[in-house]
Amino acid sequence: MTGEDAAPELSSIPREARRFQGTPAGIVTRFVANSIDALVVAVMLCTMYLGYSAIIFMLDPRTFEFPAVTFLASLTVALVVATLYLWLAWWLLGRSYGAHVMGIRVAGRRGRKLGPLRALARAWFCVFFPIGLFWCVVSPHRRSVQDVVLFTSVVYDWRPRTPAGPDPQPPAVGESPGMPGAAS
Amino acid sequence: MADARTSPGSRVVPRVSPDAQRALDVTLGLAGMTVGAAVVAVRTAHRVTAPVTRLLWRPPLLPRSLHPATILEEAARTGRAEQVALRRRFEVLLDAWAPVLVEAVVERIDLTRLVREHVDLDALVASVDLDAAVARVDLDAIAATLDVDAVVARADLDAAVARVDIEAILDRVDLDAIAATLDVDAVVARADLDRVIARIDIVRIVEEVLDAIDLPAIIRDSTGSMASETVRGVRMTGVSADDALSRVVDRALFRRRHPERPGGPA
Repeated sequence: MTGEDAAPELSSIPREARRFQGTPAGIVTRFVANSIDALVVAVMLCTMYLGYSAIIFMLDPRTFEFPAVTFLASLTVALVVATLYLWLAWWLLGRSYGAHVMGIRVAGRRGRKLGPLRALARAWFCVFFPIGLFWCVVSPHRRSVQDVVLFTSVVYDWRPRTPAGPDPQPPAVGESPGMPGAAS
Repeated sequence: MADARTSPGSRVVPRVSPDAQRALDVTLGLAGMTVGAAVVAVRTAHRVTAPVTRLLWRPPLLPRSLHPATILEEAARTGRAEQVALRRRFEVLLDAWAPVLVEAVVERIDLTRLVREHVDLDALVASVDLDAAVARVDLDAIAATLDVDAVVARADLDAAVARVDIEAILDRVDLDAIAATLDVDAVVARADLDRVIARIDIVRIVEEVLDAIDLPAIIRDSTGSMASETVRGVRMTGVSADDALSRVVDRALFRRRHPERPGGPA
């Protein structure tokens, strides 16, 4: 009775969900995850705005007024914040908060996390071309335009932590140059 | 006149020359003739002197107790009694000395060699009714006197077992049939499970199991913030919706289901 014995791996993943771990995620799950991410970005923008307002209030409380924001400035800040958020999340964690809630993650070659450059490129691509996500509806491998261009994929992975090595589950989807991948 | 030669069996056999043999025959012939003449003479003298002898043995004028015949008969009876007494004394002496003498003789004789050379043991054994002898033996009583433990202790059981082809024996044994006859419940009922469990190092086993399954990691995964039933339900709903939508698209595009998808063919 040693740890070297090839015993079946114990998993905290529900039995009914194990069979599709590592397979490409569909549009519904990914859209919900992106919506949650959008909500997270919105919360972050509101927090930033309130923080900015609080700083102004502390500097001159008597003449305080909520700062006026233009649509262009707001849109610019929102795009930058979203890009930074997705970049850091995919690079450092392999998944954003929305992906974490929906049990999916962004994978690079052989199921590993994205590198900083590819994560940044994918974040920029997703933020400025979000409609590319819907290509995964018709893609036979459930890949978005971003996945096809950057050779990434989005797969179901209910494990809280992203594995450091190759994905042990079904072969990483869309990692061959001829198999574009999912996502956003 | 005579010499002796030694036979191969170291037995001394006297050899008589022809002349000596002839002289001996003559002597014996003369002696026979002399004896025959003497017998004839005695018979004749006895026939002639018989009346006189009877008169001398039984004189008519003497009382019977003084007759020479009576006196001799009395002497004969006395002699016969003495003979019986002497025989008894001789037997007593024989009983006392015979064992001592036989022992002294046997000590000086190699009886084994003597029997081997002069006794036909095969013929002797062939004449013995061994079946009748064995039938008279009480084997149960003999077996009861055996110290079986001592016999087994002296036996080299390891060497005996090493010569046994145990695999061949096991091949002939129907272990399934034997096991089917076992009353496992009764065996377990007699087992002292508490003692068995007491000998098991449960702590060490648990530590090995925990090392093998990485229980802390499982606990961390299971108790994560995203492990609730609600989140699980949302995820499963999303997976089902993905699958349903993919089926619709595949059907609309006249496309076969992709094997990598959750609902795809295996």
